[in-house]
Amino acid sequence: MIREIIGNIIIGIGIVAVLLGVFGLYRFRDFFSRILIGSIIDTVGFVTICTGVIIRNGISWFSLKVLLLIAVVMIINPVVTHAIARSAYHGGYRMHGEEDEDAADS
Amino acid sequence: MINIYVHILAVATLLTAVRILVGPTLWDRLIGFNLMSSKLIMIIVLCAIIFEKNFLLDIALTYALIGFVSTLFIARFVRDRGKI
Repeated sequence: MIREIIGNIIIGIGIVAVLLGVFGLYRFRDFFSRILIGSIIDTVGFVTICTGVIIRNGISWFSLKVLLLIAVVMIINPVVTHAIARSAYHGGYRMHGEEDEDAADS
Repeated sequence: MINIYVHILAVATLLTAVRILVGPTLWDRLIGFNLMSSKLIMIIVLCAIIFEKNFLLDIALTYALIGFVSTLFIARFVRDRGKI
């Protein structure tokens, strides 16, 4: 039973990280700040919640599947975030102070 | 306790979906879609604890892979301005 309580507390920490990420999604005005604060949801929140689930269930097939899910998501989510930021940069989106520098280049 | 967590995550998912609706640029909508699918995977994992079913984790894994492919190719499509 103490394992269940510890698992619930760790899942709660992950929920707090997710809520901070959602708050930052509305707090910042620029796209690159927003994508930076949004990666907290993908990495910190997801890994903490799944670690809490593993601790809550002990060693079983369920925990092994959750571990596989953590491994897949840890590879996938940085790739997706990188692809979106690269698409925004090459598609012509610039931050506020960066406008003149790019015009001088091209 | 897990029920309360699932409800909080559902509210967070709705707030991220609002970012898809009001996002000023196309890439804001794309990051909103990516984060929303990530939070839906968390909800599926927590529901697998509540109902004690193993196959819900397989559904979560499939959803993660399909979301990866779709977001990646939409980003490439926008970057190349419509040429595939």
